[in-house]
Amino acid sequence: MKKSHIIGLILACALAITGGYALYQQNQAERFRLAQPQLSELKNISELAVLECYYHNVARFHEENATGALFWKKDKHFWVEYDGIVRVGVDASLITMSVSGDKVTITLPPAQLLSSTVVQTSFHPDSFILAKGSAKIEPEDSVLAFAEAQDNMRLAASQDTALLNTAHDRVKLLLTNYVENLGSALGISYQIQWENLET
Amino acid sequence: MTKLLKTFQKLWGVLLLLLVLFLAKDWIYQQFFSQPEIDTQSILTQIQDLSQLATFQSTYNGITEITGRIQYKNQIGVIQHVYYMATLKLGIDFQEIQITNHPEEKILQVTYPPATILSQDVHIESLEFIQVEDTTEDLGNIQSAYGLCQHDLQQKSAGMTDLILYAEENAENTLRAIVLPFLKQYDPDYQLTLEKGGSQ
Repeated sequence: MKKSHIIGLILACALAITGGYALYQQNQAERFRLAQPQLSELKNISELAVLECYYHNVARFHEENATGALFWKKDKHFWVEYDGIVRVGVDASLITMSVSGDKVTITLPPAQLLSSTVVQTSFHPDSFILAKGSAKIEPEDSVLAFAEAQDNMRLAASQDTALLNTAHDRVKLLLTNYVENLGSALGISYQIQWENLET
Repeated sequence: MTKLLKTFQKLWGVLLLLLVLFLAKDWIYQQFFSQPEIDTQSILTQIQDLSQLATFQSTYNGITEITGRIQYKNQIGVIQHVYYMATLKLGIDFQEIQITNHPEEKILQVTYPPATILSQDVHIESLEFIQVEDTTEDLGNIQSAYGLCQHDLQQKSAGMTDLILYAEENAENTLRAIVLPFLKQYDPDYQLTLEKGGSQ
């Protein structure tokens, strides 16, 4: 075998080994990058953790001396049943994260009412219950009742601490699961530090 | 024979390289070309470890009727309505979830059982009454009204399909939140399909 052939062969081997190693390093770096928690992924998970709840609610109205005059005054007293849908969760756009070695710091906003909608079809004449001796319900009362039902539901859901806590805990648990599983893929035991964002 | 030896002498380097490549073929394949098989058991364990996310609590505000003798009409009918607030616990059983992997189509199929109402509780302190007819009967008996509310809730809960549907939708989103990051890390092209099973 000629000397030039041997040199050529050694060079080819060296090139192949260097190329292969570079490719290996790139592959490992990509794997490591994927194993690091991603903020976009935290936001996706938080959005999936939003709780959608079906509410069956009753709005109760009692307006004193709503009609008539003097001794013929009448109260307006009725109840109305309706259905609604509320969405409760954290505002994913406010989540922040920083990674330093095996320490992951996540700032999480509190859970809040994200939206509430009264199902309009659930609001029909049959859903009104009029008290004995009450003044009649006029069409404008229905409109008012619908608007009040919406406010009522919004208020009820935003004050439902059990629901809000559940929504907050769900996000936290799902994010913990995500970070810990990513770490375990690379043998890293991530330590998560939670910071609550006050709003 | 001498000719063969000469050829071997000329090509020993190439043969050596081929031998090295042959011996390292598994490692090379694993590092650069192979995808490890999806570990469905580990995904299932992950899901089951988060089984506390499978249940949801919902508030139900309902109205039921109290019947009695209507004064002046001499007939039995609705004399009062009772408002009540109840808490319902509903969800799916994560232990019954099944996972099927279709590597050729790059699809992971998760089948979950239908949601059911696990418990229901009427809050006695929430009861309120509205009278709709005159009567001589004793009104506002909390204990008997409470029993009626419990019975009403039990009857109505059988038809709470919307409530169940939302519970299932929440459960589906939870499953997505658990499984999708895992799949993305494994292979971004992999798809997740969720299917409601028939049992329960």
